[in-house]
Amino acid sequence: MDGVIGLDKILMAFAAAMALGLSALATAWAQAKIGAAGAGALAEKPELTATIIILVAIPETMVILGFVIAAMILLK
Amino acid sequence: MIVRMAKIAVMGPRELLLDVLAHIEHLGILQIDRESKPGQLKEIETVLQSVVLDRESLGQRFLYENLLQKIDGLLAYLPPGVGREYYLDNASIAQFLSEVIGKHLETLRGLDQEQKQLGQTQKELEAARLFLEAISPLFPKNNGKPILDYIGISIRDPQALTELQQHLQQETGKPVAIDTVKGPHAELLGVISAEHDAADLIRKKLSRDLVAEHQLPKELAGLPVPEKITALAAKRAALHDRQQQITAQLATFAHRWQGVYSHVRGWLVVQLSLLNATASVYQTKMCFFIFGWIPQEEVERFSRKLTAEFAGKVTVEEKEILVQELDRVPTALHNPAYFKPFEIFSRILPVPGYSSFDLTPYLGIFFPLFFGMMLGDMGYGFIVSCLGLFLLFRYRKKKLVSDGGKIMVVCGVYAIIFGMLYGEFLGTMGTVLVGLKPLLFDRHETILPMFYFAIGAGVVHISLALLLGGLSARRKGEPREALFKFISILFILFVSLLVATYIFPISKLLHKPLLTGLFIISLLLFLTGGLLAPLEALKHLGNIISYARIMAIGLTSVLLAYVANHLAGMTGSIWLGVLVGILLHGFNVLLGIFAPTIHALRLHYVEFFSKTTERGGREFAPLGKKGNSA
Repeated sequence: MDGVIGLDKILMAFAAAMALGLSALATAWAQAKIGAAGAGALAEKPELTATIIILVAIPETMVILGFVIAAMILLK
Repeated sequence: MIVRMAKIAVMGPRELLLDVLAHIEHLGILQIDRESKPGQLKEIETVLQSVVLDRESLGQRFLYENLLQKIDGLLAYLPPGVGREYYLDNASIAQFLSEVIGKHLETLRGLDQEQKQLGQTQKELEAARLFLEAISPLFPKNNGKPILDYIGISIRDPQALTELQQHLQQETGKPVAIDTVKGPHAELLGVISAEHDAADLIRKKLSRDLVAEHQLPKELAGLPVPEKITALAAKRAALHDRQQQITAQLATFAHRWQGVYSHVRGWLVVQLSLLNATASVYQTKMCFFIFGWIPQEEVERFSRKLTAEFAGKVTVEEKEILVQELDRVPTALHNPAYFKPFEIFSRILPVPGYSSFDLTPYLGIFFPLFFGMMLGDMGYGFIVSCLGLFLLFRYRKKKLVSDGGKIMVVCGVYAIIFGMLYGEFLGTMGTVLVGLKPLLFDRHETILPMFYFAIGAGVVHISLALLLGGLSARRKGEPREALFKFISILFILFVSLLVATYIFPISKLLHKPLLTGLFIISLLLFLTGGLLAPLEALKHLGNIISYARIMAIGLTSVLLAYVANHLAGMTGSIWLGVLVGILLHGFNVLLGIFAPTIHALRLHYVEFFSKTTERGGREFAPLGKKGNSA
């Protein structure tokens, strides 16, 4: 029937949202920890700025992998 | 690229040691390293001793170190500048300075202390002036002696004002009035008016309740407010004059002495580095031996110069570098002009080991490529290039900024090229205005092809990293490690092909040979890499998937550009639409510079470099360059 969304589609959308949402939360948590430690390190050694920026970017892999999984679920 | 180094031994008569060291320091191309003593000299090891400084040289060293410390302390008091040039003999002027520096330091220390104290008093007087000017309208205009006592306070909570007034009245048993006014920084200032005998009680009470009272200088007590303000202004003017005098005194001192002290400081650094270098030199009864590292291409020039300077009394011999010595060889980097700016990224990490690779050229190739793949928009690429050109020409003398400008220009050009492949100009604006079509694929619509493209780039990048890592291990004489890395490349290729058979229309008949190949490769990985080999191999696959960020960041960039155009179109007014478009595209350009830079760097630092190089090499630090010592 037109206009009716099947349960499978709802579950797929939910799974994609979970894959992206949970990995985004995990990334945010890791970046918060690294960011706080990095800010402390920068107060002592400002020359570490570039290294700290890179370190903060490292956990973003999680959300990117989550995004890939979400895209794969939705585009299957 | 890592400069090829040579190990050399410099030998000559003992009495020429300090002269030879001074000449080496002048040339600035030899890094002295006592640990690089070649094994062939073992037969004379019993007579080979370290050089020990005599009493006179030790005394000289102590004097120089002491003087250097004092000069550093003295220069810290002076404003930045170069002072006058002078052309006197360094040794004699150093002796003279060591006698007068104590007096100079005392004078400067006194002036500095007075300057700081004056600055502090000025701040307090300024605060008092602002306070008095703010509360002056609250005072009655009587010119005689005030009948009441006034206490100034800052109020944080205006609602507690009535409570405070009642409380003070109860405590003193006298009428107390509190008037308020907005202060210069929008804070609430209050004046408590009370009879003289109640005022002391109020002050004690405020102090006990930790309410800050605005203190005025004691000499202003008893004066009416307008006279207080006038007296404050006069005092501040007097202090300002004294501050100007001190600044002038410091400037005169700097003009007269800063050049001399700075020059002698440089000379002392050189002398101390020479005296320290003697600790890294060997000697026998007759000769000295200096061992160290020098760029291969400089050996001949170095040898010729020393032979000519000391009339053949000093000889230079090149020694063989053994495999077990590779960890000791210092690393010097030298790259062609195109790759040079990218050294700002590779130098963030410790220098690579000598037997490893300098990854600057690979950064120079892949960093702009990944940046372009992520940003991939002709309009944004053009803006990034223009910003880069601006930085390059505006800050030509600031190397770091101009190098950043050069990198931006290259990255912008790559973004333009990929923008043509993706058919993007400020998002979909090119398509709407001039019917721009993608040459490769439309990122907005085709997410999966972009994903495969990004993963494909990852396969190539990681395979190259493993190849370089394998070659580096082979150079270091670790064939097993090298073999493990080469087999890992095969593993990645076989897994990629296997995955491709499921995604693309490739014959399923390939499954069996690919799976058999993978089984054999896994066995070989076990044999060369040990029990942790499967984990390591899986890590490589994880690293490759990490390249999906190229697609993800690219997609956010194109979607943001789409949103910018869409929102601008929704405004319904040309000028407002243009304004919204400029703001949102400007924001997207900022993100478009920041995010691809961080992620392209991360792909190199974490994924690529970890497989390729051994970090923790020793940076080449020749004697005499930037104050290096042995």
